[in-house]
Amino acid sequence: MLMVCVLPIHIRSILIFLYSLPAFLLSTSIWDILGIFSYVQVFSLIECVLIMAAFIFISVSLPRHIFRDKFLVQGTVIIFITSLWIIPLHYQTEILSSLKWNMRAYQFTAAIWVIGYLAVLVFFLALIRYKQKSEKIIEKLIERVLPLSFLYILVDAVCFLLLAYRLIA
Amino acid sequence: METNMISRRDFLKLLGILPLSMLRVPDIDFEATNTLGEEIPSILIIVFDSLSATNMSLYGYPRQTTPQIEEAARKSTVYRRHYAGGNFTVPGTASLLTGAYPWSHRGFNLNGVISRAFEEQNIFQSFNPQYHTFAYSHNTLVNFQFHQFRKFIDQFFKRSELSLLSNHYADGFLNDDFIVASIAEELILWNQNAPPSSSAISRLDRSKRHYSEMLVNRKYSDQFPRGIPNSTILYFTIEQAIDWIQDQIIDQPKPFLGYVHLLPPHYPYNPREEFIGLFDDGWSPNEKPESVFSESRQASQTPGLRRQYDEFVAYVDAEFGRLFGFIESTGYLDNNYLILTSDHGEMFERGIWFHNTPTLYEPIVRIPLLIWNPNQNQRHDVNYPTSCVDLLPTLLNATGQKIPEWCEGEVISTSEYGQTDTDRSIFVVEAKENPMYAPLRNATAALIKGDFKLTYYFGYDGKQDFFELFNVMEDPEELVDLYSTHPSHARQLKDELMDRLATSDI
Repeated sequence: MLMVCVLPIHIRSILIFLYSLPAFLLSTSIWDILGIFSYVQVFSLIECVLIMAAFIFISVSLPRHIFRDKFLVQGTVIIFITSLWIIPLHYQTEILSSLKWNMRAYQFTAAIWVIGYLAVLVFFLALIRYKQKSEKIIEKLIERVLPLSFLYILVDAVCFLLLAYRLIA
Repeated sequence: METNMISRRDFLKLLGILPLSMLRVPDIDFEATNTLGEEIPSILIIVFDSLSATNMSLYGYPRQTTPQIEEAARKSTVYRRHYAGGNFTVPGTASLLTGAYPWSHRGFNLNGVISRAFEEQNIFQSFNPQYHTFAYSHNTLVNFQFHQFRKFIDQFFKRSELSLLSNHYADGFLNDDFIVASIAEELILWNQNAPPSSSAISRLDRSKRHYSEMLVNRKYSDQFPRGIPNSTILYFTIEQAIDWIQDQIIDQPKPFLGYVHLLPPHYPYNPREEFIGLFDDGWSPNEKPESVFSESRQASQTPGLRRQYDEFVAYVDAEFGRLFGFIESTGYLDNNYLILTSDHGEMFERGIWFHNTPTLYEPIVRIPLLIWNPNQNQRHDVNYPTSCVDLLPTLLNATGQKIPEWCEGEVISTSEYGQTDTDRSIFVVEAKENPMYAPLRNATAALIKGDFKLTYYFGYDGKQDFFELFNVMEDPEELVDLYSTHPSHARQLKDELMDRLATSDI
């Protein structure tokens, strides 16, 4: 499960780091840029652990047949869909601006966003529950994701050591 | 029969006036001498962030924004045409602290640091070890520079020292890696230009921050109806800072060099309750043409924002007046220096708000400078252009120390008897988008000489390079561009500016 969280969370954090990189390159040394990257990656790992802990808590709290039986597959679907769906949440200001700060229009858009999220989530969870083929596809996907996730974990470990060195030195 | 014994009634009377004795300022010995027995004055520099000279009644602004500073100025030297090194905190403060222009110290990027060479060439290094040095800043960007100068700052206070609420984690347990940790913290938790890199952690942190901000704002809502003054993650009041400065004046070892950088009147403009509505007077400044760098701000909102800024300036002024009253009562000014200045100004015109702009118009680069010299009894006005890079050599000269070669500023007169080249050239540089260690290719540079100011805009995407020339003495509002109508004067200044850019830049 941790490995499944690692992929979307790290992709997101790396993309955002790359978005800010040109500004860092203006005035920051390579060593300090590596430091910033390390903080970002270590916090991504912490975030993965937190999310995994939340999933484990939910799975042990709910009746076995709801979540625990297909914990990995269902968790993967929830994580991937949520990761995609959460992106507009960070562009609230831009969305409000494009709607000319009309709060009613914004609330309407937000409601569509929430309903859309729930609909897509329920659709995919139902698909897994009732179509065994879709469950197999997700499992295949997880198998392919794992090596990449291990790579990210390795990067996180290096980043952690680099930060430890920065703080001690 | 007379008796020396006091009666019970007298005792009760004395008891009644006992609290008054608490108001008396304690006796403080400000005199310090060196090994030769010569007296060494202490120096206290107070910087108010984003304080524009053009919005201070001290410098002729129609609104009475600074009556307390005007009163205090009666025993000081007032520099009437004083310029910042750039148009925001990084170049403004770096030039003040190093005595060098931005093309030398290279501190001109947002979140920028300054060149490694200046870690050994700055005001703290120049006064240490003869002086005890201490420094505090509300502003993170100034703290970046403090961390670079750290080995020369004897007592370096964290940002949270003067805060009601601090959500700046790098200022706490990651303080040893402050610069990188602060940049990373912004990226991970509260990125303003893009989504934060974390989803869950930033959401949790945002909820925690909002809750703690709500509590502190609610606690002080009677005094601060618009909210507590803040810098997004640090909440504070000027009262708290002024009380703290008073303590430092008493407690710091003498002689000291103290640098205190307070964020007000920087945005958000949250003054104390009695200053709100102080300038609901219907006054508005002259209309000015839209800048080519206009941010298309809503013109209808500009007067209201300017009014809020003026109210915040008045709040700063009142608190400075309180500090000055204390300083006078201690006798500090008998043999020590007090300096009041800013790092850059603020503007509400030409379609531009605040100070994040490529322009270098007067409201954004003309800042206050007042120096209270030891035992000065009357006001002197200095009317020729001066720069923040002049402060370091001037203070070194005043305290009998050698001025280092790397200093680009000049010693400016601190009294009417002083000698200064009044026809000298002053420079201001803005280069946020230019790489730190690349030659200036995307920047704005201004040359101020005599009555004139030439500004050169170059390398901006989609815009032709161009010049503007104003006679800032006859036209302080910069309404009439003389660049095409005064070609010979324009050429002379242009040659000097281009020559200086070519020789001073890397």
